[in-house]
Amino acid sequence: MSQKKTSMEKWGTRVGVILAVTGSAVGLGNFLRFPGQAAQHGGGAFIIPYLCAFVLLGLPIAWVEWSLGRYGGKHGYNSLPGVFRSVWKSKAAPFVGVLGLLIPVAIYMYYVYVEAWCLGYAWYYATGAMPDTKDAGAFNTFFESFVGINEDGAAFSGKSTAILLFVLLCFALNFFLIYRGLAKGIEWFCRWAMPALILCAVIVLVRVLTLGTPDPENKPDQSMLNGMGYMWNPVQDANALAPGDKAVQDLIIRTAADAAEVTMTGEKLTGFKVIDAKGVAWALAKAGWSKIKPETKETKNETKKKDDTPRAPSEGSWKLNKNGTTIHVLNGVGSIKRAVEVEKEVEESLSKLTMLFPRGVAKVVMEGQKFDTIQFQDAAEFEKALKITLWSNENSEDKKTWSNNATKLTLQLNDTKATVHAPGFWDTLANADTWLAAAGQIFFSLSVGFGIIITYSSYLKAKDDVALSSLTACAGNGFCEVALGGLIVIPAAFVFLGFEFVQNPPGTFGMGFVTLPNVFAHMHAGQFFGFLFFFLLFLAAVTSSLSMLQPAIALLEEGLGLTRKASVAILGFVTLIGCLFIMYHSKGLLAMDTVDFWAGSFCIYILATIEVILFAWVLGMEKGMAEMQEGAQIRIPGFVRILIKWVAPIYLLTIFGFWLADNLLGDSARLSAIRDNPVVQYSIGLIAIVAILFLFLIAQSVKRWSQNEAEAQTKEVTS
Amino acid sequence: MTGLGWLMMLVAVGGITSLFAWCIYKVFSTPDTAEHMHSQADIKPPDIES
Repeated sequence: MSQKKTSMEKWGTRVGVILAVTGSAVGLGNFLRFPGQAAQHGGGAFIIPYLCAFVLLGLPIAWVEWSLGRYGGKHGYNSLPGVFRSVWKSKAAPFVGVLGLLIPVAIYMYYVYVEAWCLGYAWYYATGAMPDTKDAGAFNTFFESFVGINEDGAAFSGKSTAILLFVLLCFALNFFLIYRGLAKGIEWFCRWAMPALILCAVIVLVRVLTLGTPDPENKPDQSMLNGMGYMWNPVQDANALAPGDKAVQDLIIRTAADAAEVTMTGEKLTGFKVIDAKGVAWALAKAGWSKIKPETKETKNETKKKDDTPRAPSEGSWKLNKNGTTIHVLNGVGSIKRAVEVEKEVEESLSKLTMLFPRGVAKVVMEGQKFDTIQFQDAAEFEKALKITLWSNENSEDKKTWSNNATKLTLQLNDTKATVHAPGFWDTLANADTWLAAAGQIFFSLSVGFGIIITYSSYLKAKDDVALSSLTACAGNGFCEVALGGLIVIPAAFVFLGFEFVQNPPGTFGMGFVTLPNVFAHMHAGQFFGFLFFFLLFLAAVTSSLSMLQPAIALLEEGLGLTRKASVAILGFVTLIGCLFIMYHSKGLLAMDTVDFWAGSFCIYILATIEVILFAWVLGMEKGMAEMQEGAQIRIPGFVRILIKWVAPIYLLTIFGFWLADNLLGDSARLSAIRDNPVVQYSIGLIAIVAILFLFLIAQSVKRWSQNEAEAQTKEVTS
Repeated sequence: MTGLGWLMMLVAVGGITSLFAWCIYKVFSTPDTAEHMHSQADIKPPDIES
């Protein structure tokens, strides 16, 4: 009997360990950030760099972090600057460790903001204040209004006051828990409430997988299978991308003095909606061209009579008119097609042509010149518009190539020919930004490259396991991200909101908040599940955010000798200012996305690179692997040595080199944004100020450490 | 969803689920794992109340 009880207890303890290890790693990164990143980087094509990063970087560097942390802990250090000092006997070592303080604190500033969104949504579901509708647009409007996405300062001007209250509430809760150090509750939550979140996500997943095609008459292509296709197809399926249309890969806009021609080639489109005929029609409609009537078989025949140019069968066509000029947009598939014709019915002027590109980053406006057909005013005007809207260029004498992170546009100056090239599978893979984002996502969700794991593992005992603990946390986290986050949000967004939304989501974290309410609206007891999901996600986010400040607290305590409460008060002040700054600049969530990229992807990437190099090349593989294997509950495979010593550093440095070449050496989109956009400048300025503050604190800590070491040496000599 | 998409999904979801399942198997099959394994949640910094 007692033997049976013991066996049951052991079983229960082990289940508890698995739940705690997995639960502690799950957070907003899995259910919200991952789908946003995948959508912004080409859907299925993002998965390849993501999986490579998981296997080649995430798993080995997580082991590296756990081992480095425990190694530093044995030498009396808990903060990253201290741990680096114990590994690398250089004066620069603790200052390099500034990233391990800066990253979690900067991420904390917007993480609490997103936490407040979760709490707000849970509250609105609980009180029945969420829109009771199946209209997908209503949830988009609700989200935009809730976070004040349309203008800066909405939370402070009375237009989105609720979010301010939720943020302050989250802040107060976080700091109460950190201040009091209530670790027991967090452990209990990770062990029991996290599985509830996973179970809730599985129920939501089942509903998403059974959505089918909710609106087969009007939106036949917005089906669950096509949504899954966007998420998983390495090469996008043309049929899935443009509702009712065949998509194309290239669009050539050729203008001359008396004619305009838009030619589309290829059959596959991997992420640029305007390139298909419907997109052109849409852009023209935006420019004030009115639709005449739906194309009929008769009008198609008439068109053929007027123009003998061979044309492939088209599946959709639009006729638009403005000021007497008619544009006939035809949709076709084939090697070379004419897709847009301009019929000069009456020679009138076109005062303005606006082409809005659906990703929301490019807007081309031409106005003030008389046209008798569509005509881009001139190359310089086109170029100017692109420059304003964050496209980068690589110039040569007669050709200018502009690109943002998704699309390349070649502008040939001599004959004013513009070629828009949508990124295909290989284009996406050739983009260093995608690889950096994929690695950044892995690091973000596994909490690797943050400095958090190093601090926590520094508190472990020498014989504690780091190998199986780290692997289980990574695997559980990856499971929640890929099998749940990846299968829920993007397919559902595609089904309810369509391709354009998926291509241009409202910020990295916003996609889930617009999409998931649609799923709950199509579920039995949707209000209950909506509340449960967002409330559990809020609690998951709280457990993650609580750990984010521990590295900085550790430095303030061990370096400056402050008490925990004093450290928390200082950090509370700094992070509250940062959070209010991010919340104030809510227009397009630009401040949040900027801090998320530079702190949440770029700096994490750099820190992970430094850590793996320090482990492999400064601490040394023999010493490092011995530390990793000590107390390990599994044997670390031999090939991990090769991964850590060679593969991971080369992988990280190569991608970083290409990324630098793509983004910083030249007139890139990111440089343009830094140069031209004040909010981007302020956001980077905020990160820089926090970094300077921590560098100053590290300098003080180094003095204290040196003093303590000198005193210890004197004591040794004396004794 | 193309064939390649299905394959990608199976590899990604299957691979990561298998890895997670293997970890669970190791926790149950290795003696004394529960005593030695840790997560951020149960590691208490020495300066906080238990």
